[in-house]
Amino acid sequence: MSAASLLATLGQWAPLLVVVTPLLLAGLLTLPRLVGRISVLAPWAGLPALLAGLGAPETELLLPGLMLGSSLMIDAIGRPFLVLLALLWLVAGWLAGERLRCRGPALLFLLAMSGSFGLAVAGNLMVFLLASTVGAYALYGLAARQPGARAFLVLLVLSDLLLFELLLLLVKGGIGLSLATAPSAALGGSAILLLLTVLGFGAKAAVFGLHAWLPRMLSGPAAEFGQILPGFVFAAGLLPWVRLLATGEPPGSGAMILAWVALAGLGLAVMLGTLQGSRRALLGYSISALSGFWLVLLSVAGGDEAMPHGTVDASVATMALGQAGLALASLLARGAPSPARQSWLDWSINGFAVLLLADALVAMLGAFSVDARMPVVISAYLLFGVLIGQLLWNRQQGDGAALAFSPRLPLLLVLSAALWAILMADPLAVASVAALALFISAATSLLLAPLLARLPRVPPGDLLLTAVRLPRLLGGR
Amino acid sequence: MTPTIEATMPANAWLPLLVLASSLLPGLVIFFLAERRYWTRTLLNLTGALIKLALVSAMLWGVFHQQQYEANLPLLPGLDLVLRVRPLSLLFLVLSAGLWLLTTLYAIGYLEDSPNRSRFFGFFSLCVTATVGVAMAGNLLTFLLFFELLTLTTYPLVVHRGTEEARRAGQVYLAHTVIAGALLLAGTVWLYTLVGTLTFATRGFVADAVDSHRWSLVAIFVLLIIGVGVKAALVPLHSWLPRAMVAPAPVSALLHAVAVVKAGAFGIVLIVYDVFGVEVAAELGVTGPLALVAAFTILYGSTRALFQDDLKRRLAFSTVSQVSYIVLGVAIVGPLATVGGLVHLVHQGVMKITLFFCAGNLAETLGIHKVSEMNGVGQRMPWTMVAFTIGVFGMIGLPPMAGFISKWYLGLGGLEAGVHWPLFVLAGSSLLNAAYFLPILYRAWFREPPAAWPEERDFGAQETAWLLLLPTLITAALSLLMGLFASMPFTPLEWARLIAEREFYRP
Repeated sequence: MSAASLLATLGQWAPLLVVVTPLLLAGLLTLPRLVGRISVLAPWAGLPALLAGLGAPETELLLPGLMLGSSLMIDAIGRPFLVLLALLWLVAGWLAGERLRCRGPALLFLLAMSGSFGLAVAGNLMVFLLASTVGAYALYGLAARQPGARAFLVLLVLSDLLLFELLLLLVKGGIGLSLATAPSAALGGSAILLLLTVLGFGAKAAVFGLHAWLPRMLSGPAAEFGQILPGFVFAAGLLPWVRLLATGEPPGSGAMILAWVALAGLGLAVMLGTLQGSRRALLGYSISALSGFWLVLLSVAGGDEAMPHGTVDASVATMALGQAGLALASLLARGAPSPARQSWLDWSINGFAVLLLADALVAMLGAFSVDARMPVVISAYLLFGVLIGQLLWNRQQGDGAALAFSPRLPLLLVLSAALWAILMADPLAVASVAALALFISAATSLLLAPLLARLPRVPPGDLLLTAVRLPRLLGGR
Repeated sequence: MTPTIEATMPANAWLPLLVLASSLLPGLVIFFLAERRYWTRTLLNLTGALIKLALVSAMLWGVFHQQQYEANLPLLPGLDLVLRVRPLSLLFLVLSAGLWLLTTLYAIGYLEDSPNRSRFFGFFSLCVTATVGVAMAGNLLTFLLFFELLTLTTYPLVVHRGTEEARRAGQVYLAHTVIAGALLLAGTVWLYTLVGTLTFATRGFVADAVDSHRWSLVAIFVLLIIGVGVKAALVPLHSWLPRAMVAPAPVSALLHAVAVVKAGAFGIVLIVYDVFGVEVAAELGVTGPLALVAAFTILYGSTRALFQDDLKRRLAFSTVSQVSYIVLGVAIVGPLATVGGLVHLVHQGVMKITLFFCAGNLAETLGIHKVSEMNGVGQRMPWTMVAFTIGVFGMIGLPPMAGFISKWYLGLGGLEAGVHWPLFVLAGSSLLNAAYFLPILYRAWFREPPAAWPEERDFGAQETAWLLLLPTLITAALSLLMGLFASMPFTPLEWARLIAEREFYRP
């Protein structure tokens, strides 16, 4: 077999290889003698996914005997997510360090990784649900002792039930489960399908109202969750929204209602984010706000008659989303020295990462060809700008000592995000109105940051935490 | 996989009889073996189980290639004892033969050094003989005979421990099943007087009597369903099942996954499909109420399970709930729901036997009987708890476990039949399953273990005896593989599709 044909075969099987590699390592953990070696290899199990994301051709692999007929694929939408996830898992493996020396954590780490890659290469919704289940329950296993894990599990069960109903209705409606062929036609203007899609994936996207688990889990001591959780949110929540909502038929008046509801959620996430005492909790709310922001854009995408939805470029949108993911992950990966010990490098990395996040937000608008003058769109940018200002302020209170490590890692991630931004430079020229709104809001937020810091702090998990504690408080009285 | 079932070759009468004999003869011999004859008893048990599995596999291949297997033994004038192997029979036969082998292995390990093993294994073999008889029954009379034989052979197993609690559980079991048997007999006789035959047929044999005896047929349906519904643990006929948990773990496995409960559910399938015919049953208006009973049982069983601290009782109420998935699939009336119900007959058996094996491992190794005693047990018995976790995920219906496939077809079947409420029942049941199973996993994996276990036995470097662990791991692996590779040839799903195709689409 020549090298070219070997590469071609590898390319064809690449979607399976990226999923199977961590699974295989997980399987080898059953052999006690190999535990030491596998735990050394585990952090690197994402490498084939990175290579496949960067170099494998677009391909679809049909697996008819698997479950009820499955397929895996690498396409223009999934590829950026595969690269993003591979980077985040490689970094997470590095951060996890000694924790992966034990068999249990290593097994869960590899299973969660496999599920995560499965989300990016799923060719139909059945595989997506399978990957989501494997990834999410393994993630719960990793995080079971973290704060917020129980809320995560409850939302996971409810979310999977909604998605189960969604899949059944898609099959019954003759739409099918394939993500390869016209996936966006799936919703077809059905309110119930739209609702199931938004809520089912929304719980995993930590959209406001279904978000309580994320800031709490990020506030826990395990550093690697700063990489794993954004990856999960992006792949299990936001990616399916791109596939099912991005280029679909505009669902009419329901779209605007959804956009305004998402905007309200975004606003609340921003408000509660600014009232957080810990930077990681603030970033948790930022991710939740990003989900709301994304939903606003998806709701209005293609809704403007002057801009037919054929112009929506989902692959560019996912690139922008990937950039936002890397920027947020790099912010989460930052060390946590006290404000007095922060060097110019800390400030520069932070500032650059925030700028890349802002750049990704603006690029998203261009990718969707959304009318930047729409009030709901401008409001979304104005609101998110508040968080940008808070992130630029670079407050460091409340983070645990476990997060203190050198700036090399965030630097690496920031550079990755910057490279990403350069690769997708075209859409940067658009949406000056939105960019202006974002800039004004961020600047105002930055200026007001010292004042906002004097407001009372809200615990991560806000409403849910209060609801859980209420009976105890009442009982105490 | 689309073979046709019409007979193109002469019927083979020997194989069904040999399948019966493969457990009957060893069982009869074992009764007379002295307690100390451990190896002879083990050899007989395993040889019988392996032969039965081989014979059933041969028939599986034969039926796939259009052969028929039928044995007729004259019993009464005009009524024969008929053993006939059809795709539906094979679904149950493969399940019971396969799981019997594993349960036998497990029971050998479980009952090591315990008294009355010859009695136990004797009845154990007779019980499986009755089960395969139920599976191969070609008419309602044969079904009735083996169904009642099943009652008689399982009673000694339920009371095997000989304690007062076991005796009381046995009485409750016997009272329920004997009364149900009487109703089944009454329904059978009444049906025979009405239609003059009891021979099972695709799409039933009562269609000609619908116009003239509509209400009699409704009454007969009720009698027959109550008759088999006790063993299927339909609410409110279920109360014997949680009490019977006093029996040893292999018996619990036998009751829940291989024989009794499954025979009850299989009986409902036969009555709906092969006695009445699903379309006639729907026309009589009996499938709707049956579906409602099933839905109520599903939710009731899950709700009761939520409040049980005793692990086996929690699993027992889970069985009450899960077995009614099969009944729901049958009663929804439609090809996809039928596939869901039939495939769950196998899937539930494999998943539930895994859970009972695990419960037995915990009891035998650490003396754990209650959920509240399971803190940190995953660290002490990781393999058992991995198997338990797989079984639990299957019960909740998470992909890629076998339970997901069943739930998928049941949900799709409901939509196909134009009814949405089964989806809510399935969703409610899944939620409840998660609510009573996931906290067990949390305790086992993430809580700190106690300083000492209730009654710990030492198995050296192993977490427990390999005869207890091996069957557990095999059934756990099957629970995963039957879901993951559901669409491959010869899987339960493909077989269930074949049966549904015959029931609904063939002229």
